[in-house]
Amino acid sequence: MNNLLIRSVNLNKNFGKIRALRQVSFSVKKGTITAFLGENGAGKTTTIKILLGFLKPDSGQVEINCSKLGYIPDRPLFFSWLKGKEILHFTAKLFGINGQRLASLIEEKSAKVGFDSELLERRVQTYSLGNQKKMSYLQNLIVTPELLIVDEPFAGLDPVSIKLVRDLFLDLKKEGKTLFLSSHLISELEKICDEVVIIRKGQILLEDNIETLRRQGHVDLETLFLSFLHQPLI
Amino acid sequence: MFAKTRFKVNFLLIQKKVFRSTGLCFLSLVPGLVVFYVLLADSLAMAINFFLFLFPYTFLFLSGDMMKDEIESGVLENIMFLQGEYRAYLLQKILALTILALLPSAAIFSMLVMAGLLKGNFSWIYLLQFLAGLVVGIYYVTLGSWLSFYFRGGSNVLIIIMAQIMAILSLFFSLQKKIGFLDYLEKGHFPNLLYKIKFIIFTLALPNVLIARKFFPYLFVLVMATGFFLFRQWRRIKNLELKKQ
Repeated sequence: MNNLLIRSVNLNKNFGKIRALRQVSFSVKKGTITAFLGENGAGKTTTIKILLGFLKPDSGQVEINCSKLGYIPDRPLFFSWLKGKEILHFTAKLFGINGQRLASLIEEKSAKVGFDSELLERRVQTYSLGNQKKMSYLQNLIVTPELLIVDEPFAGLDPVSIKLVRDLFLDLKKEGKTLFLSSHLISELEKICDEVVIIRKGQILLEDNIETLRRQGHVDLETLFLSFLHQPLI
Repeated sequence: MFAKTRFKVNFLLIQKKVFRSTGLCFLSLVPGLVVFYVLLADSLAMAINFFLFLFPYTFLFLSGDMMKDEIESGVLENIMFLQGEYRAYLLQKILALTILALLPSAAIFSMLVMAGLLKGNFSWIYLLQFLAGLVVGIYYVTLGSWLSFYFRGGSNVLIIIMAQIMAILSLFFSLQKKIGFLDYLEKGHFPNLLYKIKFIIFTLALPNVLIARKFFPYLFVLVMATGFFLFRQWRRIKNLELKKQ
């Protein structure tokens, strides 16, 4: 377990008659970038929400082996009555970051995600979708989490920002951080990920290392992913 | 992360919400404005009586828009509330709102007390009545927040106000009898168990009447009801899952 930051064992989750997750088991190694792939409704967000404690599994176990966890949702939402700087201020307060350190972190991290820090004077609900996503990145980055879970990391971002975020992920990996990324943009993830987990209709179909897959003759992740969609489920 | 820091941040978050809501601020100021008007138009004693009857409404008004909207909107799916911390936030909201309502109420009461002491017409019973009002206020916050699990922003408060209007109307209907509920209410004595139960139900809808000294013994009903609503909310929050609508 020392090398594993996430260990999910036989997770099951039903929403009424809908079986959202079936015996979902996988693990995430420390210092890696894991791509969590699946179609719409495959169970990616449900799995993530269980990992983060927003949902309770009907059965199964989750072990998170880190003290500082970060999360960027698909479409981040913020308290409508708060300005950007207030959100960062409250987050910093919660994680014991003082004012001076916060100011330098905001300057440094804003540049990393291409966020215009002048926006911080405005209420976050007035931001565009892309800027709300960047705001969520900024909020997480000031905390410097050991494990960052991102649902649709590139949703709402323009191509320049996508490149910045991709570089950011690689920088974080260099710093020894672990990333768990759930996305539909397989080609973007393929450029940076080390591990891949594929989920379909609530079942894990594949959990492997990207290099191992390449050595096995799989040309690209997208073709591999699509090939799984035609396989019958057990 | 310490529990103390968590509460401090949650308190500040809720404080910002209250201060940024114009409607909420205005409604919460209404009891204070009424008291000020009575003070100018009538006497200090009357103003204190008005204040003691009205100030628990500050607690009620602040309890609007407590739970449902935030739970269902997705705003709690944030790094600040990971790994079950949103539960602490929701539970601490009840305490934070109580403090936020208590602060201006205590400030106005202190001013009235000082004025009363200076004029020489202050009675210590006012202090007990203020504490009784505080029990009523805490009851309002717990009832309002419990209702806000089922009703969207503000509707929970409206439901309580409607129940109070119905309770007052029922008093008027009792006037048709030779000796009705209103007469017993005025005397502060109820002839049998049925009337006592009726009064208890009446106080659950309009608890402000318990600020009258003669009804102090019935405050235990409110304390029990507060405990019940708190327990129900604790159970609900403990098992709560965030499912964005």
